[in-house]
Amino acid sequence: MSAGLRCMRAGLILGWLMACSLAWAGQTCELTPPTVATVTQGLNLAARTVAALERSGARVAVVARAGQDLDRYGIRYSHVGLFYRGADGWRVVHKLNACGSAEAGVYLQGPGDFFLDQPRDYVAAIVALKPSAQDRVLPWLERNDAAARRQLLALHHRPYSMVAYPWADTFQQSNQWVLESLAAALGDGVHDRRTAQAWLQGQGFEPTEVRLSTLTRLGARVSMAHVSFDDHPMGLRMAGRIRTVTADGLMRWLVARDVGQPMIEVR
Amino acid sequence: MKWMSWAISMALCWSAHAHAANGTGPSAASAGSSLPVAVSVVAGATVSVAAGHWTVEAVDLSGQAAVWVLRRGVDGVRLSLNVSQAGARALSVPVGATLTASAVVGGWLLSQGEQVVAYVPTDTRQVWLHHEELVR
Repeated sequence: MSAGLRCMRAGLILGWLMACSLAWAGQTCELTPPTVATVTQGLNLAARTVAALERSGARVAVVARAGQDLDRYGIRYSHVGLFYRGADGWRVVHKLNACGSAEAGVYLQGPGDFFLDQPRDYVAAIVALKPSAQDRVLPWLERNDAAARRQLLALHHRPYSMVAYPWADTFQQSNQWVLESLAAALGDGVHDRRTAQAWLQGQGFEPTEVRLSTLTRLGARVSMAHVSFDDHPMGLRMAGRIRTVTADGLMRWLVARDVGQPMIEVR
Repeated sequence: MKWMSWAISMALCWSAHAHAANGTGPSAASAGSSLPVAVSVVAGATVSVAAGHWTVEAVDLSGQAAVWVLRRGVDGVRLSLNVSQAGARALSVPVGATLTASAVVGGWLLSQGEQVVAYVPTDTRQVWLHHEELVR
């Protein structure tokens, strides 16, 4: 067997192992009930986050959790949701991948659920929206009627890749849905994903870039339904330069554009 | 070995790979996220402190929700819990099992050993656990 074939076989085996690791990690499909310790820790962090939100005076905020260890990429937070204060307390709306599949949905959850995924670090980051931005986003979130629901889900696109390219509309990952939805709420003339992306480019949003080799991309692509690089421009993809929307980048942009208040960290 | 290190990190999933739907609907295959939540509690007597050990006296899975009848060992107080999530039905909490109730944020947890089997909310100002897919 040639070195190239051996290498490819290793990549495919590794891909299979990655898929197994996902199931083992219990991120999405685990049927084992959570433990008292992890639920207690998650709920405690939710309570501290809600207390910080109350102190901030905000009614809408982007909140991030540190679900995975991304330190090697210089990324601290893995996932964001839109928290808002409703009639029965704080709620969160965010996009969740369905069990490692190639699709995702938008969910309304309590703040406790948001932190029950056994994050690698029990820490949260809050970027409260500025009042003018809150006024535009809150009606979509707190009104429980069909019109508000249509607005909130207008830019939701079910096909999912966790490394979706930010300037394409083939896939949409979770942080990208939050970002594009904020664009729809804040930007004039934004009515679909393409116009949202154009507005974001005009507003100086820059995706995060990580470097991934061909072999790793191949291994992930063949074994993980929720990872695809097909939407990335050929030149960047071949160079292993993978650009996507990260929680860190999204929150930095909100603050830089004066849409969000300075970030608050909660432990 | 850069590729291997990346692959391992991918296995740990870096992005928004999150829990998905529990409960009813097409996403029910994924059960990681939400805990079964009690939607109603009927007590045979006023139960001001729920903490303690409870014995499962009866389980009824015939309706939309799972119904567990529990009796506290120390004083014989009985509770009937309606637990909404489909996950509760799959937990197979057997009659005769001993569950431990412990206070947590916004309510209390029922656990069997270290495993949580349900969350019972008591906070009327803040809904801490709720799980619903939004559809157009």
